[in-house]
Amino acid sequence: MPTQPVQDPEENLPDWLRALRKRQSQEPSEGLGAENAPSDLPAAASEPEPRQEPSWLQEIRARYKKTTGSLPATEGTELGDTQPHRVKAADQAPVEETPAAEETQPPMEEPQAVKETPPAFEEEIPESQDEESGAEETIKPSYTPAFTEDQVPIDPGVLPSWLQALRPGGSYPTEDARSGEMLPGVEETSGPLAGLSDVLPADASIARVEKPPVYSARLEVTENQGLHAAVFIKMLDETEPPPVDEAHRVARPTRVLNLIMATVLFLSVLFPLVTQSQTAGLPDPQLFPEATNVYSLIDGLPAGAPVLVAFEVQPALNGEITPLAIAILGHLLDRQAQLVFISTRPSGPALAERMLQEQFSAVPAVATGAYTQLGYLSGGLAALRSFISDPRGATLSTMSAGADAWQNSSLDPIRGINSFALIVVVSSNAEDARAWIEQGAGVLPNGLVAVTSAQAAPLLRAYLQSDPLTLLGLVSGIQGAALYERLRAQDGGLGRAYWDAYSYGIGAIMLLILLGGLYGRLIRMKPEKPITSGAARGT
Amino acid sequence: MNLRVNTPFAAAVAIAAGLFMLASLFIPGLEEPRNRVLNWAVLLAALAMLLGLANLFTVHFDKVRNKQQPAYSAVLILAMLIAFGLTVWEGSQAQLPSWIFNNIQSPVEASLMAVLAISLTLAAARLLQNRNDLMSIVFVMALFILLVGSGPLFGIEIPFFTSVLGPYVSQFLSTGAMRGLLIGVALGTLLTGLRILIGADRPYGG
Repeated sequence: MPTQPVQDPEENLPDWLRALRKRQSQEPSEGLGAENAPSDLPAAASEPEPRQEPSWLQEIRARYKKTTGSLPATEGTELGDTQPHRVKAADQAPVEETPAAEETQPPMEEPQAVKETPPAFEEEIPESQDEESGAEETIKPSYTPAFTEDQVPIDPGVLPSWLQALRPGGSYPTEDARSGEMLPGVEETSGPLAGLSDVLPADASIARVEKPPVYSARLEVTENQGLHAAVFIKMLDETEPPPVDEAHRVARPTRVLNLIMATVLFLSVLFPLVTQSQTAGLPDPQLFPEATNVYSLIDGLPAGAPVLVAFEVQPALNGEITPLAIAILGHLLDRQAQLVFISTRPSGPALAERMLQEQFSAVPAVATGAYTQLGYLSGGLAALRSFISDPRGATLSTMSAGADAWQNSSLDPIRGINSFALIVVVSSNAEDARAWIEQGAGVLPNGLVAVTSAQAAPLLRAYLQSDPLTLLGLVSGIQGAALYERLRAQDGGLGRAYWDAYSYGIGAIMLLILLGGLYGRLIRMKPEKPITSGAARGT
Repeated sequence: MNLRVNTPFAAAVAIAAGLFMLASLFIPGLEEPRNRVLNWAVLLAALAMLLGLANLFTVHFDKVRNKQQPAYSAVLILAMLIAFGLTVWEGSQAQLPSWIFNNIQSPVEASLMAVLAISLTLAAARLLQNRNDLMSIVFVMALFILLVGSGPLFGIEIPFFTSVLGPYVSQFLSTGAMRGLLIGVALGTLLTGLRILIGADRPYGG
């Protein structure tokens, strides 16, 4: 680009900026190359005035003039991309330049500014630039370039060892004819290949070997933004993270609540037992006709009638079953029934035996062993079906001990399940009682009665109204025990003793549920407090 | 040694046994062979329980050998061997096996049930706090009616609840619900039996 003689713009620049531009103009740009130099710089900025050169540069220039007698040609950095020139001679061409490349190289034009280039370069000035040549000739470099080809003391076409070491190895492609077409007349202006033409340009990101730019980490913020940031940082400092162990905070009141509830329940049940309170009214028999049916069936048994007692009780619910079973078995023993025990649960025979020995050891039938333990009937529903079909043919646990219960002469009249005058199923859960009802529905014309825990009653109650009738009567829970003792006009029974404790326990449970429900409602209705720093910290 | 039967033979045996048991309920004269087959099933069930015992022993013995909480497994194996040995040696009605049952097993299970009662009370008390919707309120109301209707509270009887409302809920509403449940169970059992009889379900393999 031709430069126009203009007024020196650096006169108004400060000294430091002037010195900086002077250094930029004197030192060839590293890495970027001349073609990447900033184009918006004023032309005068790249041409420092000779009178402004420092003394050391003037000395170098003087020595140079003494040795060479002329100024070296510039590398075309001032002329830039608009006035390319080419290396004419083949000996000045890059190493390994092929003849085909020479033939295909288009003629290159020599800018005006390189008229004073060393003899190695031949001037070919295009006609289009003849008019500008006059202006170009006035441009003379005012500095000593760091590298000029005419003063390089190396033979043309022979690269020094250090340059050969820098050159890429054999893995890189060599120059071919296409380079001339692709990059007509472009001469490398920097790097180890400076001065060579027809060089394949490296990718910008690959060729960039300088250190990565260091950007400032400081944000350029306005004063207002800085104030906002300060307020935000202050808010973050005041806000504490949520409690670390949330589960621990939840578990502690739950554990305390558990202890309180257990204590209240324990005391409410223990108090009537200790004081032997009998203030609670007994249940009304009119409300429980199924219990009255059980009483009537047992009360109508003739003396010595065989009664099968299926004792399907788990140890966990034995405490609830015990007062009820005592009431029923006591009634049966009073009627001098011949009791035959069996169970489809392994724990059933042991619990039945314990109850008999603890509660009825004074009864002659128990004391003399006038009852029969058939033992445990393993096999679930299949075994139960087998026993109902053929009681004598069923496999019982007592047989494994070498004792056949059916050898007892008192059981001789019993030939089938229908030989029993009554079947009483004492069950702690509904499934066992249901199995007896369903498996014996078609075989037991007289049906059976169930003595169960309170949790089994709702399910079994549906069988009370079946047609044909499969369940003749039902007594359940502590309530049933108290009711049955009332029917028998029995005083001092275990059911009556437990009835007050049951009443107080139910009352305590009701109270706890109501208080807990109200507390839950209050917690939900309570508006949330605004979060303060102290509350967030848990202080 | 893997003795798994994976041929149609297993399915044929199972289907034939099921059809025979079903037919014996309707055809007179088949009671005796039916009871014999049922006794086979009872013996197989007893053997299966022994196999379960052996499997339990093997699992916990491996835990002791691999030191995976060996103390608990060692206690379990020791208790199992003592109870099993004493019961086999003396019989289930003997003094020592009865003492073990009455003084160890029964109190432990009763204690667990007592803990369950407290946990259920706590759950009911916290129900409205944790889940405050319509069904929770209905559940708590039904619980309230049944508990009040089951007997006097603190020795004080509330007439309307114990004589009218409580019996109505426990004897009519719950009975209706249980009948529906039982009908569903019966239909499911019938369908399961049919699927096994036609070979659609083969839980025994084959």
